[in-house]
Amino acid sequence: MLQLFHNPKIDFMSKRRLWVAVSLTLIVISLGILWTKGIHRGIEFEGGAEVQLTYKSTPDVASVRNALANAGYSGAIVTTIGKPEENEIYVRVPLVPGAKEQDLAPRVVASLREAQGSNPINEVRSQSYIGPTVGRELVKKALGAVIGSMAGMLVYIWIRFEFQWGLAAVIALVHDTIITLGLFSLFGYEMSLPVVAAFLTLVGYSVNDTVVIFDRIRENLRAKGGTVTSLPDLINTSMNQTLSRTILTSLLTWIVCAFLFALGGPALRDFSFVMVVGIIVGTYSSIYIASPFLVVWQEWLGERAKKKTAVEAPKTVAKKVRTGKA
Amino acid sequence: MSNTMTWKLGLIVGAVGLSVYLFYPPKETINLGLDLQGGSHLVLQVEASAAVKSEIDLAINRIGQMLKEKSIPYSSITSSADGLGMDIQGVDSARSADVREILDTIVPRWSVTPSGADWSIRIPDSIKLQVEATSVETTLTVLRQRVDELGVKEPIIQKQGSSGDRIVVELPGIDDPERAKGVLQDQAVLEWKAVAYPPGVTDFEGWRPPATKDAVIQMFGGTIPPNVELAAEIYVESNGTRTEYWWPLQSIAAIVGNDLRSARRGADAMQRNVVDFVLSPEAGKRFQAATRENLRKKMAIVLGSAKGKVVISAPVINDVISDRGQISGRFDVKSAEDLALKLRSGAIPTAVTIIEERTVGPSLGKDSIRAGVFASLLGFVGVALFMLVYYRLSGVNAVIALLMNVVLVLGAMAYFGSTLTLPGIAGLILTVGMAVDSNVLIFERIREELRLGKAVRTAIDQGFSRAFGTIVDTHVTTIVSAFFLFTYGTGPVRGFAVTLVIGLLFSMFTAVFVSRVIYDLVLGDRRNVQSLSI
Repeated sequence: MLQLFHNPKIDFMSKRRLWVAVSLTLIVISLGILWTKGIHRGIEFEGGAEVQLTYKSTPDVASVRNALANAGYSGAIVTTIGKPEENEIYVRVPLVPGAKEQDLAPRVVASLREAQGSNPINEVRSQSYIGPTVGRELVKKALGAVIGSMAGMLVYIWIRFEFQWGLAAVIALVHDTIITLGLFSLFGYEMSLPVVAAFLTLVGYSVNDTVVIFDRIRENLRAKGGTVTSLPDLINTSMNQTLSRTILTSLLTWIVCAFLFALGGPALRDFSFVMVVGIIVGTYSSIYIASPFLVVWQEWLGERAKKKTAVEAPKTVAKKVRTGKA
Repeated sequence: MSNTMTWKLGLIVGAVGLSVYLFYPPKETINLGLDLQGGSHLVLQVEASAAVKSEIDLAINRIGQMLKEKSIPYSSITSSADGLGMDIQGVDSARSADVREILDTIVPRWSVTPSGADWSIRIPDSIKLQVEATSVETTLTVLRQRVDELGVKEPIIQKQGSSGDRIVVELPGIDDPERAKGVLQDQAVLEWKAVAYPPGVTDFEGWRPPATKDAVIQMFGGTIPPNVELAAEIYVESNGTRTEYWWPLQSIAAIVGNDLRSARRGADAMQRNVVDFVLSPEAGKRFQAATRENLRKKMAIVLGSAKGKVVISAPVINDVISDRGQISGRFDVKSAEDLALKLRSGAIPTAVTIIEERTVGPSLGKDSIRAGVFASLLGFVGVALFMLVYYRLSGVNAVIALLMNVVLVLGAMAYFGSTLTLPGIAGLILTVGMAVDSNVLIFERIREELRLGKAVRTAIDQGFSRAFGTIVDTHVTTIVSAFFLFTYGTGPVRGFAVTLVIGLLFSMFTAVFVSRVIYDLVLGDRRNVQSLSI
């Protein structure tokens, strides 16, 4: 039998402080990247025009840029895309504040045609225009959807398990989202509608590993009648029992996303980047963030109970973890 | 084979057969999104507030005119600063009753607050909303008409957004987006033109022109006079027969669409359906002269669009008309309403702005499909190989379940007529990646039970039943986020969310039910299964 791990006995929990420190550092770095580099926002969010066109022979990006500047489009982005032999360029022009510019995209194409000279435009492969109001609404909607779906996870896991389990899962999700966003910014990818979709999918997917481990922890708790002497030990056992499937499931989905990233064409690249990175971060956080949080929570409750008992009557602190209704 | 087994196998074969039947051949049954087949996606903003303004302006015009007609002194009448009504200043207070009467006729349901010599008149919210809604409706109808003229196959034209003043227009496969946009935003020109009767026609009221251009030219003796032009009136019966009448018209229009303030279905004294229309005061004067000249003759209402001019109706002028008129004919409720609508559409009350455009050329769409499908196929092969190497014969089981999952998703997409977008292709293959997770959960659990020394059948039983709760949990969480994705997204992203959810739902069936049946089928009735290839 081919097996990833032979009866693993990894002590995940004892180094939990180290891993939390690692994660916190990563989060701080990510936030730093986001703060300094920001995120390229696609025209869906920013407004503006975008055209993709092919030329008869290799286009000169600098002269295209000049042509646009001469036509009065400042701040235009011009890059070559696709295979070199396709002679394809991508042009993006920002909105000019206060102007009526619903014809922005065709006007950009027209001014490029005027300046095409001996290398004529072969085909306009796509053109898009997004007005200023659309973008603002979209940012709000996107944030709403991400927060909404995290809240949805919290509530669902709360119902199926307990509040602190839901909280643990959501903390891991926030962790995944921030770190993935940081890397997204670092590599200079562009935020677009499908990328937001990828983040939402990631939220839904990366909680899966967490749930698989949680299910096992709960099962083991129940087997012991709900009372355990050492929660960290029990969590350790559960994580080792589920380690193969945690890694395998992530790996399989990751394979698919990696193919999309490498071969799916430019339109799917930003989207699959989020999944490729997010799945790795998500798997890590399921093991090193979500489950240890359960222990942290219990210790914290324990501390509070101790303080309370110091004032009131001395009682033994039952190390009991409630295991949910189901 | 036991009865339950037959039943289960029947269900599986039936589901797969039905799906294949539904989506075969995929080129015809699966709708491709605009990002894959090429075309234009436009979002138009209807400036509904402009319609309210023009409604107020119209009222101001008419009230001013009535005040003059009735010789009621006033110093000024202006639209209010808040844009929601008008203020009349310096009205002779002795004539308050008359003012009231005028207001009751022209703006019956508006709120009127007199204070001394000044009157403030405001449009109430209910009427304002109604005017706005009508302007969006009208625009929608005009757009439909114009898209039909463009000859686009399977266009989508619908309202979007909570405020209800946005219109989405999807035009698959158009090759000239600029022309399409031009036509859509075209303020169609409506003109009223007197019929230029050919020589020899005496029955002006009953005359109908011939059905071909040549026949009309013939009636004029071979050449059309310089001040006459031809325009066709076209009837298309429900069975598709098309009748044309070629009207000779005076080329100078008596009035044009911008002169028209409104048109509504109404009833005449005999309770027959008519179309009532109102012209601006200035146009009324011109129309008065034109109708006096053409009394007992026909005047054509001509709608000019990107495709040319079409006569929509040619009523007889029975009376001298100034700013209010009535078109009578053999209308039923619908045709009267339609004509009123076309008249209104000639004078689109509002501007329409494109706030979003996405146009994808057909070649880009093809490239996207090629890359997306290629990457997906390799992704599938990668997953399948991994499962076969890692789980051996049980891996075969998983791959069968996965294939079935894809088939069922395609079948469902064909059945619901949902649209496959580029993110949708990604969603489909991502579903495969997630569906296989269920198989892994089950197989790992079975291995675990086997390691505990349980018999093969027991291990399989417990593997499935113990993994089930976890599988449900993981599916629900992903579906919850897909739900938010759906509410947030537009077009392509929705396509992704839909594919993902359908795929996940089916994977519950394929990974749990189908895989189980395959095990039962392979292990058969053997009592004592010694080993399992997993």
